[in-house]
Amino acid sequence: MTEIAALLSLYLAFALAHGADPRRFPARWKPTRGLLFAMRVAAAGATVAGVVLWARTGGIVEALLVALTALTVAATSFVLLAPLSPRALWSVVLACPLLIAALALVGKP
Amino acid sequence: MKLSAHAFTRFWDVHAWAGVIGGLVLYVMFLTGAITLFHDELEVWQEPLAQQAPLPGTHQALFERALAKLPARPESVWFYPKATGAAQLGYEDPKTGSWQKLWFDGHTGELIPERERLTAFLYNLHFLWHEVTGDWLYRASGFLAVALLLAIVTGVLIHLKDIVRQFHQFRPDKSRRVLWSDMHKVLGVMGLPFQLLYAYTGALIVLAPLLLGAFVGPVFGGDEKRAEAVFWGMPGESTEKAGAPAAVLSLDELAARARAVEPRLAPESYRVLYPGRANGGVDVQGPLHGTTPESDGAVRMRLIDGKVLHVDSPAAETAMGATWRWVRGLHYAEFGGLPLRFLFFVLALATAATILTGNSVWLARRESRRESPGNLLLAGLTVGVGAGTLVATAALFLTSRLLPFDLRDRGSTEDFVFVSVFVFCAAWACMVEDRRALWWQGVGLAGVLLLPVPVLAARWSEAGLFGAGPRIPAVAGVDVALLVTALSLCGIAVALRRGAKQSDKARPAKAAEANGETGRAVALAPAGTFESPGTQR
Repeated sequence: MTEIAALLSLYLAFALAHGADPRRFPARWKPTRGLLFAMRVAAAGATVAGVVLWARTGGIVEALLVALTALTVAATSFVLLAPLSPRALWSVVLACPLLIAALALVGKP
Repeated sequence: MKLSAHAFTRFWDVHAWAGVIGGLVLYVMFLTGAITLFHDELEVWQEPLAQQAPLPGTHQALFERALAKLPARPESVWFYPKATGAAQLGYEDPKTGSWQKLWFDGHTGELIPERERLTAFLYNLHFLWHEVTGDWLYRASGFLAVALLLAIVTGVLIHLKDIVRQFHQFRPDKSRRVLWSDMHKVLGVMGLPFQLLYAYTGALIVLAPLLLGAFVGPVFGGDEKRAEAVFWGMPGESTEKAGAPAAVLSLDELAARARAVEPRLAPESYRVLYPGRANGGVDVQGPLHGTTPESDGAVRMRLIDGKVLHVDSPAAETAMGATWRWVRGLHYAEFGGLPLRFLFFVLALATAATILTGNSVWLARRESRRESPGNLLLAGLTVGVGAGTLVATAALFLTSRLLPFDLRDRGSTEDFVFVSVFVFCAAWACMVEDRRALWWQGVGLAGVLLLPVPVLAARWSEAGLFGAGPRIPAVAGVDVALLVTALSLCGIAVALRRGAKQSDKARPAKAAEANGETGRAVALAPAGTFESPGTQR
């Protein structure tokens, strides 16, 4: 459970970093600089959270290796699938904080 | 950073040629490597003997029973009393020199030669090794890993100036050529750490032993044993004579002593030299828990008194041993458990797709030379090997569940089926003129062949998804994975067919625009690749 929470956290991290660009918002939305900055900070926070969550079960070296791998998989799937089914991908992103919290609580420390 | 035009052209040429020459073999290596990530689960799934409940009793008693069944007591024997499944025994046949691997069926007391080779075949294919071809292809796989490293480095250099933009750019609404090009770059850039890791560690694993030979003389004064001890962490086996028969310690006692020396060791298997003899020895082997990567360790002891001769563990390793442990640990994904192996599986498939899209980009850029024999061959082989490997692998799984277990040469029959289907697909793709339909047909055929495999697996095992007995997670997991893969392949085939049809409808209008020039070019690459021959690189 904790491992899945960590992987979701890293997925969330890439999605936020990828989305923190005005060109990736719908045309009618005008994101402010503050919002974009907040998204980048949240992306960094989600990355750290992913590493910390994994480190609870497997140690810091393993957590860093897994984080790099998970980020590349999240990035590949997100960039390739986002133009095809953006709603599905962003729905998962929206559900992520809740899922991460629930799985982290259920998972073993 | 921007390269000069001359440097850019040179790097592009090296990248493209390294990819085109080695790409398709690397594609097979990555695809089989992806499957091999689940080697342990597949080994349990493929052989009902590996699913037996273990017999009560000591390891020593089981070992003695198994040894008594052999025609002659071997000098050196490997014994693996598994936690789940029948025990395994391995030894070198003194007559033929070949390695014999047997199951010891604890219920019937029979020794059964290893009969199922599916997992071993796919694993060996990953590094191009087979008994028939021997070492030379295996060594070639090391050089192919170096070629991959070259292709990666030159690929990074030619895309360096806009690598960040390409990180995020995928435009499926543009022409197919742009789509393949974008996919190649996204998969290549995102997969860069994974590809670098596998190219580097793969090259080291295959080629480093060759280097050892060069160092034995100048560095170790010709002492091969000392060189091996420094390089591998474990010295070679003793060359002493066996000595007289003697009362020796039991394997269970030796395993307990090994644990006392290295508490992280979970003894799993034994390599016994001169069993029951005064000069005999044993390597108690097993995984070392709590290490990253999760490496295997061993404690070498004398059989007669349990004196520890050598400990192979991170606590006692040399710098070379530590490097080697990391190289192997990263390559074999010995960290992060099942979730990490799934991530590596996705990245291996992504790398295979990078290679195929790279070939499509190459063909698209050489549209003016589309009729040249080289381009026709590459186009044929790209489809033939790309889809053919999937069809051959699916046929291998199907054959493995159709053939009876008591069939003589069962393993060779499976090998033959894989190779013939693969060669047929590659040859067929090279011979036909219109290759547009081959992709969806090949992918669809692979899905259809794979679909009945989990059901057929229930003929041999009750522990799977469709079995009636208590489920074993590894067996049921492989059944589920096969079912999901089969359905995914069928789904991809339907999508590809739809894409090919749409591209067929759009083609006459495009062809008319291009002064009536029709479609052999389109037949070279996946459907629609040449819809818009723009200037995209």
